Amino acid sequence: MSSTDSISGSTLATPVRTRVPGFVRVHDRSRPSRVLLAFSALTAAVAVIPLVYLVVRVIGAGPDRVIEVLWRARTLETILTSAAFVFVVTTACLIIGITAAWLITRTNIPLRGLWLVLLALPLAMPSYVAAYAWLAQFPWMSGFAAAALIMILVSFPYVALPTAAAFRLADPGVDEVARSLGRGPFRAFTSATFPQIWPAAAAGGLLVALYTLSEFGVVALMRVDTFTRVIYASYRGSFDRVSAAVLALVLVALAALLVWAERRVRGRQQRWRVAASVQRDHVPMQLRRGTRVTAISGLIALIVLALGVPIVSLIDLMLRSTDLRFDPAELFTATVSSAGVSLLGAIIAVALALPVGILAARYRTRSVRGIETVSYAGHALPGVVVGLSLVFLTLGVLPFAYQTLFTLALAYAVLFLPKSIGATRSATAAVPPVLEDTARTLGRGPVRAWWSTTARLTAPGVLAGGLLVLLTSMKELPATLMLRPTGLDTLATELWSRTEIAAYGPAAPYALALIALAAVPAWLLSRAMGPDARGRRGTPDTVGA
Amino acid sequence: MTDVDVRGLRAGYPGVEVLTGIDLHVPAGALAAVLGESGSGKTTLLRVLAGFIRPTAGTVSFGDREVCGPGVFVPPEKRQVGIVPQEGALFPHLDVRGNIAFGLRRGAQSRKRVDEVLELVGLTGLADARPQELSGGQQQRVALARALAPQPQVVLLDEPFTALDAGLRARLRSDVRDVLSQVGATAILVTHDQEEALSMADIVAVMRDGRLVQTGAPYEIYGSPVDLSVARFIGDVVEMPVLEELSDGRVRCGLGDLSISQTITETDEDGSKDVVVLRPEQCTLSTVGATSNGVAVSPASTANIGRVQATSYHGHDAMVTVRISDGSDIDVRVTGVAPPPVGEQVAIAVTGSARRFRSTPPHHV
Repeated sequence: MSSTDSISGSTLATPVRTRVPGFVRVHDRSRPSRVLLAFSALTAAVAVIPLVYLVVRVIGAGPDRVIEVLWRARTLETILTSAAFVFVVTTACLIIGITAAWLITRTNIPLRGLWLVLLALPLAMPSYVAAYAWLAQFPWMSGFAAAALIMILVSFPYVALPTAAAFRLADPGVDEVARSLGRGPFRAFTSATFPQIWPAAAAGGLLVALYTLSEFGVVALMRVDTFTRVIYASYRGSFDRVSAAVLALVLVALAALLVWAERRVRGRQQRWRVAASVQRDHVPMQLRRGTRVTAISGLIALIVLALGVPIVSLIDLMLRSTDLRFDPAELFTATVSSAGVSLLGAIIAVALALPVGILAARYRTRSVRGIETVSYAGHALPGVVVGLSLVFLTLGVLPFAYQTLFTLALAYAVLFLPKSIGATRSATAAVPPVLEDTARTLGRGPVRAWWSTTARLTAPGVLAGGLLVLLTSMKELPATLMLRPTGLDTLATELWSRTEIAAYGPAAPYALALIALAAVPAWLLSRAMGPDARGRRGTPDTVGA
Repeated sequence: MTDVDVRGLRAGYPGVEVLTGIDLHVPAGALAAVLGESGSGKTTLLRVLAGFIRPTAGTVSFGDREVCGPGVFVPPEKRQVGIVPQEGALFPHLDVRGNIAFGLRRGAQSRKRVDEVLELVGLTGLADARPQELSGGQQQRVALARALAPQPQVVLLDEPFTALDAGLRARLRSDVRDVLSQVGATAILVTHDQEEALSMADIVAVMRDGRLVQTGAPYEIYGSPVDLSVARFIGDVVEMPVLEELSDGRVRCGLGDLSISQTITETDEDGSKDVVVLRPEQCTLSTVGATSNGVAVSPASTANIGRVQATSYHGHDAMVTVRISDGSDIDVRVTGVAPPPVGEQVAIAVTGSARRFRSTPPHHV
């Protein structure tokens, strides 16, 4: 006997209204716990301290000073240089990334799987290591074009990987329908397929823009006066605090704009993704012989420039530097101090991220969303800005904390807090709240119920987030340069100080160590962004960079 | 033994009141089913009973202990309720023993109790299995064992059989019922499946729009629904408009003149409905004229002639759609025989009396 037939259309079928709009899961505790909210608010406060302090300093300087700095010809020049730099790098990454993604997913290029791996590998190349490796072979490299070339070579995977994933997910049926409605192959692509991959490509492009705007090592080595280098120079040289602070705020405003745009595009992209239901293989486009050869040559050239040149250069340096003094003990010390201070930063980041990540996974109230957004401040704060702000803050207010391990670790925590929050949040969201509820009915209080269920299940994800913070902190350059205690050398600063004096050979071991460190986050990032990322377990800001 | 008493209960989320005044009494040791469509508020009621939601008004008592009411709110861990969630929700990081022992104090007693409840739910020997290795039905049995292990006063079951396939569901239903009556726990089952509610429960409470519209024994709900919606929700109906009111209290409809056992007047926005309702099993079909077994049946005087429009065969019975004299189609359930072919003329006889539902617009009341 069927029960459902008889009730269809009956008045018992009232509109569904038990779920409060915006609740992520059916988690009926209407209000998040006050303790969690308090801890989360603390996290948000820590995350915005650098920004707030900069604003305070700038306001304290008075409007006349600020306007004077803003009106300087130098400032306008910096803005224009940065804008041009970001524009050139982003545009080139979009063109290269989309083309490469199309070639390896939609055409009859041989060894498509291999190309995919090769295109992800540049993510493991820290940008300033690449810049150093090129400089070591071609010491005449300098200026805008050289810096842009390096940035393009290390950043194009941020476009290529998600775009390749989008090409795979895009419904081939749409393309076929467009063809059957009378469009040629090219117009069918631009009108049917391109709109499906563009949100992914655009989100990747905006990430490239954000990283390019915040980049310090490459522009410093190549002597391009973008914001980061000018801010660092005015802090180092004249100790002109007001102009450094004003410029830093302008930089943050631009970065925030990019973060905002990236969020919007990514949100739209996720809505579009819902449509992709049936997985069907695409019929690869048959390229003509000549075109194929050109395409393969292009891909080979890209990989040679992005990976081949730096790696060969480093190996060459290593081989040639056998006669130079290389002190393994020094490398070991640098690794240990890098790891030590980064570990402290990672612990602080995980502790700060826990309450925010849990709240964000379970509740979608306005206060929770506000706290989460604020805690992500680090995403829009370039390392040079956090460094500068904490220098001012410690010198001005807490002189005993100036250039201490703790302050440096705190800078790492603020910068990479988004990774930790993202990891905690997605790990928690994957655990059904009913487990915790059931534990409560079996006699455990709220904290013990969480500890015996959700905490056990989320531990791997939370720790992975911490590991990511650890590894990323070990690569961090500008904040480390500004905040490190006297005598503390990390891998990044050792590479930096040797490169600055053109001691390219002795720097090679540090560069290799940094590549090894960058490999883990790069691997995670390529998994999160790459073509197999069906479930989107992480988003770019929870992992890489 | 503990009874459950709910009075004047209201609960919801900011801006949305989901439960708008619930009164329910479940005697000690009884199994009550709260039956409603999704969105009716039944899961919210369960969560209030478990202590996950603080009600805005009303009281809940387990036995003589008030667990929530004005100034009283006992947190979930102090209520001694066992909960069997949808799809089990076993702790994936613990084996079966760890799951069941979760609510027990550690020690030798715990080990013994786990073996006891495992035997009770029929899973002896599976203590070391991981939840992932169990079938859906076994997972539900473990969830029940986990809920029963600390000997709760009240057991709450949240659509526990929904995710299972039909054959398994029937078996597990009767097993769960047996286990619950064996331990003597007072149980409240939330479900949208009326068959489940009718077959398992001692008391069925029909929920709609955040209130209980009818509470009673299963046969009362099925036999004497309080309104047309409940009648339709709780089972299949034969619904015919009233054509004429007869002087002896009977009414004339598409199936002839029927006696009315009860007339229910409802308030309704459109206020125009006046129907008689039968259950499909109150009608019996017989073939008109020569049949395949050679026996000619002449239509009985009370019967009506119709023509078979469609049949849907379910094995144990079949539902036959017959077009009757007023031109409308009714569903008749026939058991044990091959359903008549489409196009065949059949005679319909009615046993028992019908129920009449009239609706009046609100301002006439």
